[in-house]
Amino acid sequence: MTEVIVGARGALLASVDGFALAQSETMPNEAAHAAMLAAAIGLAHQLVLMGNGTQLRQLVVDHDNGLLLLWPIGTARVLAMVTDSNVDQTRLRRFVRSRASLLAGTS
Amino acid sequence: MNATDADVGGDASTDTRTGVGTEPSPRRPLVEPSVDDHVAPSRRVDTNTDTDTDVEGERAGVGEGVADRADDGTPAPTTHTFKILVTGPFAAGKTSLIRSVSQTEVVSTDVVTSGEESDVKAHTTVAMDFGTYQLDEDGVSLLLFGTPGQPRFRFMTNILKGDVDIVAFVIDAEARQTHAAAGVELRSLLSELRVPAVIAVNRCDDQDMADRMARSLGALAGEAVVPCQLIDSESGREVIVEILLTLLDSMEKGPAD
Repeated sequence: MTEVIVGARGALLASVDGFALAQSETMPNEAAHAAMLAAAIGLAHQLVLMGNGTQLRQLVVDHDNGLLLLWPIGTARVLAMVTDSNVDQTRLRRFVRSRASLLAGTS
Repeated sequence: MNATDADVGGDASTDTRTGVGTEPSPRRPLVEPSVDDHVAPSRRVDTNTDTDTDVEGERAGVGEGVADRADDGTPAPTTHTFKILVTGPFAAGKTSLIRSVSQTEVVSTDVVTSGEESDVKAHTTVAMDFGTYQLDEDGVSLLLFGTPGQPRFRFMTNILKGDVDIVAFVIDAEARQTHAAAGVELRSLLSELRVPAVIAVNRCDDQDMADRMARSLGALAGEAVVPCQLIDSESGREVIVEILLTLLDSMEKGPAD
């Protein structure tokens, strides 16, 4: 994924209850990261309700060194990508969507 | 399964998460007589907003929103808001406590468990639970913030513990393998926060046994211990009563040095 999408620096796939399942070599091996992703997605699901939404599609953390993009993958997993600020988000999302069943472990 | 929009971004029709805003707790009267009876008039807080200088009323975002005057012109009761940190080991009963007593829909972040934890229970909190309990006539409002129990979510406890007024520490009497670590966590948390605590010993009906268990965790003699069955909402309210009494005692004594 990081080789295909320009500006994508790393990816981490975690379970919704906070365990790391897979990650790119460029991501730091920090156990708490998977837990933080799970917590963030868990809260984001609630924030969706604040906006009268029903379904979380994406969570974006925009910071001074780029972006952290999070997507729920099915109902049991979370994918996070660390990217540059100028990454093509449309292409990235399309790429992730095309591999969703693989990432969800259902294919 | 095809790769569709539903795969990325969740699929409500197959969502196995529970408690994500979908499990309203039973609505109850805002004032429970059994609880109110425990709050002696002499312990009641100031009810005049015009002269209120209590710190709790100054907390941004809480303790506000009440009318200065009721419709008949009499002073409306001050709302005193207390932040309760509900914490303890994994699967101790923290979410059950909040769900059993909250008078508003519980905000929860439960997800399905995986790995060895799925042998213990099917769902777990990954960020926080939030519920409320109010005594309208006394102008007291409790905000219940529940933490995840696993050490990997400790950062959430660190976030949620700010500005708490009391800790409700929940342990499962039958999960003795969790007690040693729970004791370390309890003492560490309380020595840092310097706030009172109530120890809720879940799945226990015997006060003496609960006392012994809490003391073995390092609970101090002055810290209240409540044996409870947190699948039962009445039992949860007994914990709330003890929290209220402990808060009132704490207010009478003043802040710890």
